[in-house]
Amino acid sequence: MALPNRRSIAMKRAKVFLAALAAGMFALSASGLAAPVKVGAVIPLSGLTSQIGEKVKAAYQLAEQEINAAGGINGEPLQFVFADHQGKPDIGAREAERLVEQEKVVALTGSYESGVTLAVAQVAERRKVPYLVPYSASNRITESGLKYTYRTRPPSRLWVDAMFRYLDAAGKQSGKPIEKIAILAEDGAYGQGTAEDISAAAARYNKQIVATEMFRGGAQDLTAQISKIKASGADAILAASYLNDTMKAIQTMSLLQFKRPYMTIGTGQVDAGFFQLGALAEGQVGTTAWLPDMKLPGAVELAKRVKDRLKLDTNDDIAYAYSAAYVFKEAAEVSKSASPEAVRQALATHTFTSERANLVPRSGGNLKFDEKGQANTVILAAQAQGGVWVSVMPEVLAGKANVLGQWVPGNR
Amino acid sequence: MQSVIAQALVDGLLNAGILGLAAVGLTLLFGVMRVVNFAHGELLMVGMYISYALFTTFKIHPYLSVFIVVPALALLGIAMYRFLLRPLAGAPESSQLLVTLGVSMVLQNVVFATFGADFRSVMVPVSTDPYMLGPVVLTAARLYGFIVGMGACLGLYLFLRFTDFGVVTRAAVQDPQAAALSGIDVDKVLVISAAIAVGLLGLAAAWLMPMVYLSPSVGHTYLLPSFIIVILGGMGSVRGAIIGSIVYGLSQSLGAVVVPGSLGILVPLILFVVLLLLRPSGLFRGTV
Repeated sequence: MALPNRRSIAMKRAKVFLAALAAGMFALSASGLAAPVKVGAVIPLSGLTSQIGEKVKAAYQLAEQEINAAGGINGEPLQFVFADHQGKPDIGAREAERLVEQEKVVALTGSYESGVTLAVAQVAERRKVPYLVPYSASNRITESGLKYTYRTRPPSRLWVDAMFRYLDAAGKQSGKPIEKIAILAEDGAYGQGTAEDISAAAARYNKQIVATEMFRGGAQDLTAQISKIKASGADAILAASYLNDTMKAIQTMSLLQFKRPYMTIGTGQVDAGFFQLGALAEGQVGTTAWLPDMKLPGAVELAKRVKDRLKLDTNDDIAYAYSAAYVFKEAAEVSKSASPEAVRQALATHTFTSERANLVPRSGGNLKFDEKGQANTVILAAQAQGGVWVSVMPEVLAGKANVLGQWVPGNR
Repeated sequence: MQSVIAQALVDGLLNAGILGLAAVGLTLLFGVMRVVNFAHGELLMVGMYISYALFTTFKIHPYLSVFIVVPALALLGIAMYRFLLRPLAGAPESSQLLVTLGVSMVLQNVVFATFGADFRSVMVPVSTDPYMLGPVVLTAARLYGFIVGMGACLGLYLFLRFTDFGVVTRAAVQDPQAAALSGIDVDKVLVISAAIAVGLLGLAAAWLMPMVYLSPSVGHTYLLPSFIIVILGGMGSVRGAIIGSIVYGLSQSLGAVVVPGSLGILVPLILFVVLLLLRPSGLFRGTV
């Protein structure tokens, strides 16, 4: 008889324990430790572009801390779940699947290489989760009819437009219009795509393409290409080149005493490493998606917080990642739900008003996405002035005025 | 167009100096040790990073850094021979190939972990000084690279041809056993050859530094041309490597001008295949 008694006592104890546990859990959830809103970030954390991945991861984490410190999203904490795509489309797709299936993320963000972004976008379509793309530039990302992919970074066509607009403005400023354009492009997918964009834009801007030179990326010698371009009588070189080739080209232009504007896309030129060119760097112009000196509310403060908290200089990747976190937050808040469908609906229709979601330069008011999922963000022209890159165009956003550089007719 | 071709001719010739310097080391290693060194490009890259580090920390001009870079690389060459190649002396050639390939990966990743993937460069006056020769521009850095590179190649050729050490080396190459029997310390010959072959890369690294953008993968840029030059000139022939580098340099720069787009790269490769069809063992016989 003793045994059943003991068992019933044990049962009672267990019931009390379970009740206490349930009460404790209820109390915990009521006190704000609710299940987090999970967003999957598929970024390059190993491989050639891992440095970029580490930077944007830090930017997402900074945004996560700040959002949670301010009360989270609809009262629930935000949590980024990171996955490494190694720069490979197949791994990107697999990791995106895993994040949706196992981690139960309600949205995806990240990727860097356009090929990976397109692969992740396919997963987003199939799984019906919104995918917010803050980096990749390929035109195809927003022109493939994807319903769940929304991109804040401008497509590559806009980068090329920014070059032509700059050349037009500089031509007016100097009184010597720039008419003849030479294309210099690396022979990979990036170079070929950009060369096509430049040719197409040249027709729109009434410019004549006088030479098109391709080269193998990482070339240690561009003399042949530059001397052919020089012989073609070009007024400017528009290029698709990575930073080392850009610097090589500008150095070669100087050696061949061929002083002309040389512009390429983004960090292929507008990067602190460019100033290794020394005196040659001064006055050179390029294109950029973000610089801290822009006339954009909160940009200087963001650069300062990133410097203080992350010990990093804010570049376009960091700023776009940070802004993406706030775009997601606002989308989930206006629709009062972080469910994938609600967020997608908000991305498609909402005009974003918070300062931090709008930390990316735009044209025509606050941040919003068009029917293809492309945001109204813009590209700026940047100039090397006194050892730093400053924004010089378009005027409404530019922090500094354009200085007619060493290559301008008359200064040559 | 004439000035463009003249420019290409001059550039091709000038490029040959440094290419030759990288290639003679490779051909010497093959001639003396029968080793195909896949780590050659990475050893050159390591030399450039040493030169770069000396410039950024002690402000030593890349040209003066040879006094440190050349001995450092020579020691690296000796270490590679002592600890990796000598133990494999009797092993199949594929083992040596894999070992040098392994060394190249290790070196690349060590440099990657130390310096990161950022591009680095050294700007000194020679990087941007031009000499004008009518419409043709002679880059100072390239001109000095040619003088030093070709000078060192010719020096090595004469050294192997006309000194006692050269005679001993050639004897050791022709028949190691007979050489050993006649009192030649074959092992010593191999150690010195490894030191010279890799040490010469230090010279190439120092003279390349003012013109290149450095990254851990820069070695590849020089490995393929070096192999082509060595095979073109005849495996193991120093004289062949010198001629081969001029043929390669000229065909590369003229190819880039004459053939549209990046297809210019094909010109030296097609020329390479054609020359091999005509002379399967290269321009010269491999007798160091």
